[in-house]
Amino acid sequence: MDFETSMKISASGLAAHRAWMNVLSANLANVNTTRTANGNPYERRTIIYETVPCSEQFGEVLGDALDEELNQVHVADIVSDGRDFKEVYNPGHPDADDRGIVRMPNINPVEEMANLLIASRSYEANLAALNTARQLAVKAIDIGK
Amino acid sequence: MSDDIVFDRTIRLMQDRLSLSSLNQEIISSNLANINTPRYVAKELSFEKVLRESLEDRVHLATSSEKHIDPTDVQHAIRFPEIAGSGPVDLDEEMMKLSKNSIEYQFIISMLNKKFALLKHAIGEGGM
Repeated sequence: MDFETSMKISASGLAAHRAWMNVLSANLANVNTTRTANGNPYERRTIIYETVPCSEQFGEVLGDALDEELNQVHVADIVSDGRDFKEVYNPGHPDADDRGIVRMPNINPVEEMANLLIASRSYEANLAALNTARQLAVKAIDIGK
Repeated sequence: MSDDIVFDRTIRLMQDRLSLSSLNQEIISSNLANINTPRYVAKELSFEKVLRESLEDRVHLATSSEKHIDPTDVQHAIRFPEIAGSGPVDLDEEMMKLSKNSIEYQFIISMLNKKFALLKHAIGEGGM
């Protein structure tokens, strides 16, 4: 039960949301990529979060009841989205097939931008929590002054 | 728990309240960190309301009926808090709780400092 734990939890939130922003940036950067290592166009990536209890710090101090209640967030996996590729008729494209159709990544920039906003706001919220914890820790030094 | 002359019940109560605020800060951090985690249930301190009601007249808390809150129960509640789930994380609510908790914490520290200042005043026979 100290502010270090609080800061650690906030830091996990910051890291997780920064990871999400990286994934979203990669999606936006590769919106027109038709070639990857496996020969297919770029596949949209999605991030999966999971909660991780930070029990080791609390075990002795507060007993069993609070052990599993405080959770850090952790990036469980970054997976490829299962949606189909967009098929665009563009015979002039070097990657077009016999019928003149090019397979493009199925990325909707608007959707990615909306997710980017969510990630950014969540990052800010975690930052606010971190700053508050820091502020309170500094305030605690003033006790008795 | 015997009542000391110098470090009395008020100080102990404020001390407990500070650690409670610090726990609350951790719960809010946890909720905010998991704001985009699917199936995560927001947590909150379950007894805060009861505690607040009882703290308001904590010093003169008298029990004329057995349904009243027993002062020792309150102290037990502060020392052994419970955390309950309350549904999905609401960003606005969490930010509101964050500011509120911060102000409460700083307020209690001010009160604690006032208390210590009074004690110092008494030690110096008012001359310091």
